[in-house]
Amino acid sequence: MLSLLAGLSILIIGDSHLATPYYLIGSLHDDLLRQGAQVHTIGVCGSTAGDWLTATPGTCGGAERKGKEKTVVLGQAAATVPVTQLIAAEKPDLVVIVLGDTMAGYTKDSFPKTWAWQQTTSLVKAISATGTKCAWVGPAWGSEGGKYGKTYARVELTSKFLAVNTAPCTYIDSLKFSKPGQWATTDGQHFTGPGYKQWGDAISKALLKP
Amino acid sequence: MMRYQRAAIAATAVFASLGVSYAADIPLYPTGPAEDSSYVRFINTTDTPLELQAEGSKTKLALTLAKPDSGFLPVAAGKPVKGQLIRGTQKVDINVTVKPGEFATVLGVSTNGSTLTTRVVRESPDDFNALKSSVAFYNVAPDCKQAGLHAAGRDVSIFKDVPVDQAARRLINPISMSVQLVCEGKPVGAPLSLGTLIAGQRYTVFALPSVNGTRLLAATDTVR
Repeated sequence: MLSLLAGLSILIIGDSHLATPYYLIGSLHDDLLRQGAQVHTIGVCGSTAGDWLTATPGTCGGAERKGKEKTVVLGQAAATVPVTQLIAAEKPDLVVIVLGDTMAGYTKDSFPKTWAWQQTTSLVKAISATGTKCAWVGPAWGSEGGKYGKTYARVELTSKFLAVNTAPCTYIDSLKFSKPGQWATTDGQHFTGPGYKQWGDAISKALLKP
Repeated sequence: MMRYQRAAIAATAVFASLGVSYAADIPLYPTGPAEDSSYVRFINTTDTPLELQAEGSKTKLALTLAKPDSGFLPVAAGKPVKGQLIRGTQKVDINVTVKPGEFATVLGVSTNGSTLTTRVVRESPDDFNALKSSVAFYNVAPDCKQAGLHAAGRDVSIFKDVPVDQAARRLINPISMSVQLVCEGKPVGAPLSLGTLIAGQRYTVFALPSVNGTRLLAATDTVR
């Protein structure tokens, strides 16, 4: 059966969840390729929404993958490319944004809502001004603790915030894809291979929904 | 020892053959800013142009009658924002310190038409929402001690009993709207059209003093 995504050009941008070969730059990218989409993924570790408005060096590496090519790990050369520049050059049918954990303020007492609002609205406005459709993939549960100090309460708060602040992008609520702690992590925030496989599969299914 | 090394090498080879490496260690990165963002805006509510001069800077920002609103400018939280509002020979000092996540509005006000003063209204909103319009009501009118806004032409209260120098804010469906100022339960002045509200946009309606009595002014809350 022909997928609704067949023939579509999809640009995926985001944070560290796209920045290692077996993360979503592997699983999600492969899923979309299998459905006949043309896919370009760029992940810059530590990047936030506002970082995708101007070229911003990554703080902890990154990776890029074009179509069926292998993932290229960018290391210290990783930098964001302004989303408007990417859209102008590639004219994607859909931009998928994978961001949330880098904006949650896990180690802070309160969620930085004003900053997050400015960050998300700036990126969404930049994309929607081009007339390009977009989907925003929110953070997954992960596990509490770890070196990022992730908590279920904060990731839930972050996801709820993104759900109402990323329109007109379609919000994909990753918290619905698993139970808290269900997908094993290496550090509380980044999943092992099976987690990224399940997350990627769930995202690609969500993208198929009208 | 050698046995464990062989086992480790074998396990690594298996994961590598699957294109999987669970040993990847992402360097630690911040998951947000050191502190939340803070903003200050300056609005000229008088009937003459004003200039804003920041302390330590020769650059002046014009707050004209055509463009009386500076928009919200990002500032460092916890550090005083100092300067002067200038009208001709009149200069009024500004010294505002904003908390993380706070939006402060400095209004240039002239109640009697001649003396320039400033008022500061603060809010720390938590209603950010791209699906609705957010409308705030700032009461800066001393003569309107309990101010409210009604939907014009209808007996529907949008804001009620907002004390002087206080702010209230709420989410509203993005519709066309006109508002009527209410002071101590009685309508004051003419209705003010806000036009058609836009989803995700934020607005402020001010109740202001003037030589002709309390009046309304609307501003779109732009962030620079």
